[in-house]
Amino acid sequence: MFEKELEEKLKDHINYFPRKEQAILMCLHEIQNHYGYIPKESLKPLSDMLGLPLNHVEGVVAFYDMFDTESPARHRIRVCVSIVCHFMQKDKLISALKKKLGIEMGEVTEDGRFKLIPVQCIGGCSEAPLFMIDEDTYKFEGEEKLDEILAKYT
Amino acid sequence: MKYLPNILDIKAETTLNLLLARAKKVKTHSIDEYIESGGYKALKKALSMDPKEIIDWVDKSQLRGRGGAGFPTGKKWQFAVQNPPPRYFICNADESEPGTFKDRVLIERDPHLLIEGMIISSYAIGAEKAFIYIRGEYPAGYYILRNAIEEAKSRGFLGNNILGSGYSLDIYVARGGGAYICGEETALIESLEGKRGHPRLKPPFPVQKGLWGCPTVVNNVETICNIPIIVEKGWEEYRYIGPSEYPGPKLFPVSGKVKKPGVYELPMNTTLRELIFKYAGGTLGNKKIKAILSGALDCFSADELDTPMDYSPKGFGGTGTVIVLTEEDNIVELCLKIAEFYEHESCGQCTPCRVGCYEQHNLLKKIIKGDASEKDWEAFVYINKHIQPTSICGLGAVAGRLIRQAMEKFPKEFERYKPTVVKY
Ligand SMILES: Cc1cc2nc3c(=O)[nH]c(=O)nc-3n(C[C@H](O)[C@H](O)[C@H](O)COP(=O)(O)O)c2cc1C
Ligand code: SF4
Ligand code: FES
Repeated sequence: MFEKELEEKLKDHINYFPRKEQAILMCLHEIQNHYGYIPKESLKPLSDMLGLPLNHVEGVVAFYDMFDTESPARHRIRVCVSIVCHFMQKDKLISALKKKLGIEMGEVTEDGRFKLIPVQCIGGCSEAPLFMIDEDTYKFEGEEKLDEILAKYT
Repeated sequence: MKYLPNILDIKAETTLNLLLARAKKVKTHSIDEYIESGGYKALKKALSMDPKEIIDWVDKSQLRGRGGAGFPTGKKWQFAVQNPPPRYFICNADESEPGTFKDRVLIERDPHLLIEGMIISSYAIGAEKAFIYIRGEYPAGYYILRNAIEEAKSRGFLGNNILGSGYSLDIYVARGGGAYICGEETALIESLEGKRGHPRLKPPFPVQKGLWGCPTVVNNVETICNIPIIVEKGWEEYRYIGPSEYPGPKLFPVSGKVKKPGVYELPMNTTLRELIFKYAGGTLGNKKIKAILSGALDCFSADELDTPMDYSPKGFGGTGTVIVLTEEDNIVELCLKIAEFYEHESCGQCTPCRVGCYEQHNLLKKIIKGDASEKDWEAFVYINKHIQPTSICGLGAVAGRLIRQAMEKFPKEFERYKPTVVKY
């Protein structure tokens, strides 16, 4: 079962749609926000709430890129590695992030604070190179600014 | 709004002041601001019209879908209403084509334009439930839309018996989970039903069997934002915007090596050259243009700058996305990024697409390292041509296209990676 507060949020999503199962991606976002990833144990209670078989929920989690059942991290940094950012010096952004966090792409910092994730175009290409931290979208404006931004996420 | 994630200050300019009339300003316009500037007038007018008449106006306006395929919107609606209710209306806000960020600007800054467009569209096709499917990477857009829908409900523009017309509509917003393929309309419908985003075989088309097997219209954000403009102006006046064959405003998201990247609203008789040089300020460092990409779809060379930004056979077409690359950019490297994109985004349902995209990427990695043998080259050219047949959806159909065009238009760029050339 989920903690009360999370369960209420999941119920809100489920009651919002005409059909319960439509809330599945909203619920997965909510669970990931809450735990910093999607614990495998959460899938059974979620499938019960949605009235879906467990293997359906597992299949959905595996299909969508944003959901992570493997590595907990308090904050997810999604760095665009797609076409525009690539030609607009994404490598500078990536090496700055790697240096500051001491991790490679796909890894989590030792303290569990950040995970670095390469992603395809996040739809703000005029401001390239771009990255997201959790729900926030940022452009890269040099290392000093990057420090300021990272400091907001504890 | 209680909480809003950090969003970008994307430059937005317009010569027409229609789609970007408000959204050219970097702020989310509230319902009061929207109404003050003439918003929701078109809805009142539409509700006094017969739904059939609205469809007729949209048809006569010659509006074409802005989601990529350029399909006539009025025709799509006509097909849908031939099938019995319940019908559904879906707004495709999955915007994930590389280089595309036009729908984002409309959603984040002028959400009520989209909502007004959705109410009129749903009324026209007789839908009582409508959905917005917004990509998972636009969380701010999600909150903004949820909030705007509440605002619209509180003023009686949504919910039961809208403005006393007897017509009722609810709009629901659903988030994606990071899958480009969910922008394809049938994959989107699957996803909205709570499933994996696997495209369906067409026919049947969504207008026949869409959401839960019912007739469904899927339209792009920008397409829908044209609807209040058509209703307010009337189709005759709308037809005077831009060239007579391709009327209406169009958004062009411009990025890459230009001085003023951003979203431009222009008529479709603009040429690619004007868009880049007159509006987007020309290239960074005044370098020579090498290639222009319409997302991951088509690749144009500097010889093609007179291409009109319309939907004619020789026009730029698609979503209007313009990515500019200049002389120092490597075309083979570009192809590698394109191949990486398609490999990553293939949903894996059809074998030629799944295996083909994987092999195409793999072989290009070898080529760019200089490790490709003549056999690898042959395999690469063969695979590039053969991803297309038997693919269920449009992704498989175009996964080899830009790379093939690049090989034709920039043969020299590929030559130096070939094994017969002596390397120094
Ligand atoms: C692989 C693929 C991805 C697509 N992605 C989008 C998208 O992100 N947004 C969109 O509006 N249309 C997208 N489309 C087009 C939709 O399938 C559909 O044609 C469109 O939403 C119809 O709206 P329109 O007629 O208003 O253009 C995509 C198509 C394919 C084949
Ligand atoms: S063509 Fe590719 S993306 Fe489309 S359904 Fe087949 S495998 Fe999936
Ligand atoms: S390519 Fe990076 S945001 Fe579009």
